[in-house]
Amino acid sequence: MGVPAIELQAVDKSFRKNRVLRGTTFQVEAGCTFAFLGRNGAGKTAAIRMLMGLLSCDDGVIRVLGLDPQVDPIGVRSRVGYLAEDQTMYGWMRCEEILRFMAPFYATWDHQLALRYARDFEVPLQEKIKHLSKGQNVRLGLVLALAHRPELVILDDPALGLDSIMRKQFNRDLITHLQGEGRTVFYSFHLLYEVEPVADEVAILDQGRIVRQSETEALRSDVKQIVLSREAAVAVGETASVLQRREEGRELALVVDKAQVVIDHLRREGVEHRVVDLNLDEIFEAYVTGTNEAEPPEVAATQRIAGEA
Amino acid sequence: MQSIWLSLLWKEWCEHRWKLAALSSSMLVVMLLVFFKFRTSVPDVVTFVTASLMTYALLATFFVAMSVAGGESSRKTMPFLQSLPVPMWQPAAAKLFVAGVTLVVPIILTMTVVYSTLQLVEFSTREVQNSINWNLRTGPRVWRIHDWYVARTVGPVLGSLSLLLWLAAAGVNRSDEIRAGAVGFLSITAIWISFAYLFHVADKQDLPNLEAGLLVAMPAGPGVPGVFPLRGDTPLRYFVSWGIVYAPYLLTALVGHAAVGAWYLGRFGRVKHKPKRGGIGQSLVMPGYALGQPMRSQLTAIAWKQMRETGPLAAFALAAILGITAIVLMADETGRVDFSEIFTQVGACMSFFVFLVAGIGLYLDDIKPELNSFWRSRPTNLPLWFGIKYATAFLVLLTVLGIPLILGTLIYSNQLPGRFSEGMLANLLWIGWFFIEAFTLAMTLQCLLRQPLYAAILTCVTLMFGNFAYSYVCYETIGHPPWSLNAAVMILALVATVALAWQTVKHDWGWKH
Repeated sequence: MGVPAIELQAVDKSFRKNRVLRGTTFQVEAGCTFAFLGRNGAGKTAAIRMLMGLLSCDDGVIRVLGLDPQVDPIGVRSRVGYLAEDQTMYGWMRCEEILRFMAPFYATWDHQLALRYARDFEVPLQEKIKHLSKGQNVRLGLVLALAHRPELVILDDPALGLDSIMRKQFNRDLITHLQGEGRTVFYSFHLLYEVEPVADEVAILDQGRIVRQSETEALRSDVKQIVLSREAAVAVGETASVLQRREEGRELALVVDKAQVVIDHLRREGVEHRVVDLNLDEIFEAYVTGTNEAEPPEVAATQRIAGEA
Repeated sequence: MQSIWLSLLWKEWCEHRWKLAALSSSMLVVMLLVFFKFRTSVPDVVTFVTASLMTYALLATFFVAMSVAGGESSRKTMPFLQSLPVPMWQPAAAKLFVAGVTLVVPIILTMTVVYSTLQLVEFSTREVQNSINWNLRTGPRVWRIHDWYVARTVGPVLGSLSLLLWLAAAGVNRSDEIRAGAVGFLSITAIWISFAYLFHVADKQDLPNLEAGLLVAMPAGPGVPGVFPLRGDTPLRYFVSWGIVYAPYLLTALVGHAAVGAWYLGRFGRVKHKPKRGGIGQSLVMPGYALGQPMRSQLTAIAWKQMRETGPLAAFALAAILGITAIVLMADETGRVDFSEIFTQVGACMSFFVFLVAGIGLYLDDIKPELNSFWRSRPTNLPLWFGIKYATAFLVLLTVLGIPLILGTLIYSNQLPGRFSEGMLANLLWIGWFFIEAFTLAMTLQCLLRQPLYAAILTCVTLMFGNFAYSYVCYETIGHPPWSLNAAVMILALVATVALAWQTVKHDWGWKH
């Protein structure tokens, strides 16, 4: 097995009293398309900035393409294509000028590829950056992130500012194209239904902790909703890791991890139940807002508010 | 908050209170130094107090007006302000009012402290009286100390408020403070040049009506009301009779400034939303289109970028220096004033200001949070980025401003009877160092504070305090310092400032709000 594209081990980061990452650990294999999911303020951007060597961690180990971003940030940045969340560039430059300006910073910059991407993404090259729309700005940022043929592409919520057609094009064409070239793509995203078809693997970050990392398909087959009568819920017992519990009339809807174990158990016990497949959106919701019995101390903010109400 | 006005004033107060504190404490520190240094000489105290207030009225007003005109756009809070259910003139008026208070309070405070000190300290009444009369050029008429207090308070107050109004109106809605300041400065210079040119025409072509009209119109000009109370022919206790004599001028001043104020209030927040030019779904890169060649190296790219950022400021500054020189030459009736003399003097005064602004501007964009991430997340050679930016900006300023000024000085000195002396060379080098130090220190403080106004204030205070401390220590210990010691201290100070600037940029130190 080769060197992982990204490796985080027990990474901690605090901004004064605000602890944004708590022992965060995950690994992204080379060639994988990895979706990094989390709610606003979960710590995604902080983690990404650490990968780029823009922030230092308080504790733990970070490796990007085998390099420590704190020790060799230039080495990391030369081999990584990065698009920041809501990235701003020099407004007075024209799009063409920023491409010419950025070229000498990368030894592997391919000017013809930059032109091709600019054409594909419909970037108005003669326009000043300050006159670009939000979507055009993101597309220009993508050209800058990709034109040096990076081994690893890190995209911090690239869908922000893209319209639905462009997002689909982004997921269907660009990510597929990058996958075809064998590049590793690490991206944070908030539109999960669009991640589903392209992501090989997902990690869910909640309150600074990775609550689940898994292959997309494995996650979908592991996490399911089981609907059963309230009385029968006792039968679930200790077998299940319940992520979310919702009462619906006389029935109880439980979102559980390792669903097959629970289903087998209920069948053995002869308990009547229904199994509902969940999409990534619902799984994500169950992890970050549900009653996670595996991780009981952290209660989601929305749930706290609902409880107080 | 109980009313819209209270809310708006509270917001502006929160944004201006630290500026008020910084300006007041800076002026008080300066006054402390003036009294300490010239404790045995009242004429020097009076002169330096006057000079400090004049400098304050120009510099502080400029920096406060920059933030009034361009602050909201720079912080990208203008859309929020526009979305409030109030007409835009209300936030504009609140902004102008609090900015005015911010400028005026330090002047009143400073003069009150100076006045009280002159009363309390054991200066002889006669000496104070003579100094004041000499300072105000009162001639045979005797002014009392409170006349001086009122004149030196009211003058800078009116001058500051007038300049604030003009600068805010001229630079309103610009995308950031530096642009707002540059547009405001150029507009004011253009108005002064126009007045001077028209006076020149009226004088040369013997047009008394034009000259009379210009005299009446002039009080509406930027900063001109500040000159009225400084006139030495009448103490302000005769204000009523003085007011009757000068009623047409006062009326012009009021009407003119009201019009400028109305322009500012009417324009504030009316930002044009330009249509986005790149159409969606339209192929914007034609087949066969070729990109220009990439820049050859990081060095070239960084130097190009910096030249594009500093070049316009330096060019505008040169144009302004030439414009003001033209004003002075046109206003000169004796015909004995030399171009190189005026150009050098005007250039020397303005260049400090330009070097200061250029120093702040060097990292103004780069340290904005979103841009800071952009260039830092690229494989940028940080020492190269820092070194080339600094050197390029410095070379641009040297080429566009420094060399013409040096040439002007050389030409002027060759016309002097004593020709170019060693003392002049020393002065020239000292002024050159002062500009470079101001430029470097402004850059460093902007990176640390991330607020142009505070960076400017602290740069001025640090330079003044540093120079004072050095000269005080030298004269108290070894007397007149040798030239070699001066040179060593200057080089050391510059190296230390550059080193601090480098560490600041390298580690991304600074107040990140």
